[in-house]
Amino acid sequence: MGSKIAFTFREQLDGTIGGDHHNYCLQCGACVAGCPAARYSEDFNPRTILLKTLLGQEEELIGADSVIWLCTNCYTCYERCPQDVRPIEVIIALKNMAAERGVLPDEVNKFAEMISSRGHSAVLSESVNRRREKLGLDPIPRVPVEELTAILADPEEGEVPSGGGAGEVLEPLGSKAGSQEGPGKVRPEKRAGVEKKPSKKASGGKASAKKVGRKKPRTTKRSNR
Amino acid sequence: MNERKIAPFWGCMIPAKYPQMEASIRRSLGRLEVPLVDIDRFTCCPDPIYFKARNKEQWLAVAARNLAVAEEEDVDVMTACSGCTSTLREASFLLAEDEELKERINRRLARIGMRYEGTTRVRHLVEVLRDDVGVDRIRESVTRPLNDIKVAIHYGCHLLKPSQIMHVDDADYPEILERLVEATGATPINHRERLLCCGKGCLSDEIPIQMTRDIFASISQAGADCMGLICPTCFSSFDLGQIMVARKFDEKYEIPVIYYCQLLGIAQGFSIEELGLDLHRVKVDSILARVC
Repeated sequence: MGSKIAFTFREQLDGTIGGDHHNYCLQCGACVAGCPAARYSEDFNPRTILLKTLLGQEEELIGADSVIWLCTNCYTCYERCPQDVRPIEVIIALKNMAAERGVLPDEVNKFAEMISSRGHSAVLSESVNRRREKLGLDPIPRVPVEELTAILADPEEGEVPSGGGAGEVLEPLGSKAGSQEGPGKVRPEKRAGVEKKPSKKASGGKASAKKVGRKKPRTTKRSNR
Repeated sequence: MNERKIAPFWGCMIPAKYPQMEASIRRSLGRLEVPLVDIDRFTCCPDPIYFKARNKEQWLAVAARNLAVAEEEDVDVMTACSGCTSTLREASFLLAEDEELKERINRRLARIGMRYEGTTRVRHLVEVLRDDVGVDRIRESVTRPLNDIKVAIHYGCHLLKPSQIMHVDDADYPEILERLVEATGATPINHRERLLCCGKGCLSDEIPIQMTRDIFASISQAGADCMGLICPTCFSSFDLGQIMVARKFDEKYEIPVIYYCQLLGIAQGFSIEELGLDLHRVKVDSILARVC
């Protein structure tokens, strides 16, 4: 173990949402006893992870062989910590830093990409809607993915402050979204044809369950759109 | 008295992978006259494990948009998945805690003409059942009590923890699900791994399946007839998970895993098809044979 503390790394962690609480850690170990990942893996120990953040051991924490991905995300450490370190949130901040550097497990990236590009984490297919129909459920509504694309894009220089109030002029969504590259890129053609044709209503087939009431939402008009 | 209408937030897994849960919720809550207003503008919550791990600011932005949709529609949100509950509640908490962060997220929402204020309440349906409906009215809706059925409850993590944010029940000694299961006539039973995580959030080929194995060894030893739970992610760990445990360790448990509103729906007299109980990997017949 090196003798120097890497403060640059710690400052970067401070600047990542949830990362700054690592400074409160007193190394008491209250986070360890209830940790399922620590129970099942000798390699994973939330106190040790926090110690490494205090020392700024970047490679061990966010390098390709980091143990942070074994965290079960159960929040027991957050529940137990007397110092409000929120260890799981520090671990998530470390994951964000790893992702920023491109060190992200493939399945995490693919899953997150699916949500960015389709607004939904599950595959929406006709067979899903057939199963729903059999249960007396309506098809899954179309996901407003173009709105996600707009809010996922990195902030631009001098972006206007929020307000959303009357009089604010917004670019048409399509044009703004269409020009964005990166995680939020819209790929409307990838959407499985869920919205194309509402499937036939369940019509008293033997196996079909009775239709369950789905009240129409109130339509809300946004004056600024 | 809650004046606002309640909008169900279905998330992704329930409507797409386990629509039987949605059917059971609509039917059992319909029987209890809980009016639900569907909103078509929600997206993925987004998921509190992978999406949040990649970029927490984007995670907050998507969560804040969903909450802002609820604000525009003037509804409170009812979740049915512990993951959605966790995301939407934690996002509300963080945005209330940090004004600068809230403004940063609102700058993103301004691009689509929206703004997040923090006025919408988010509750898991079990809280709505406990607090708005009440155990007595649930019991009165039962026409086919699940007498003598022993239910091992799996709480999962995100309904309860962190209690600083969730404040649903005591994180170490919860009883909300015990009371709701009792209302169906069934008997909740304790077991040593009752509060263990399902393991789904852990990126490992070994650990989650070992956790599933230990949980089933525990509930099997306690003599449970089935497992009762309230989260689709936990469900996948345990329904499909039992098949994987059988394959890997040659240990067959065959303990049916049942979403709470399916249990309630059985007790309210709904049919197997209406509750989608025929869609489970681990067959539910042993339970149905005893009550139907």
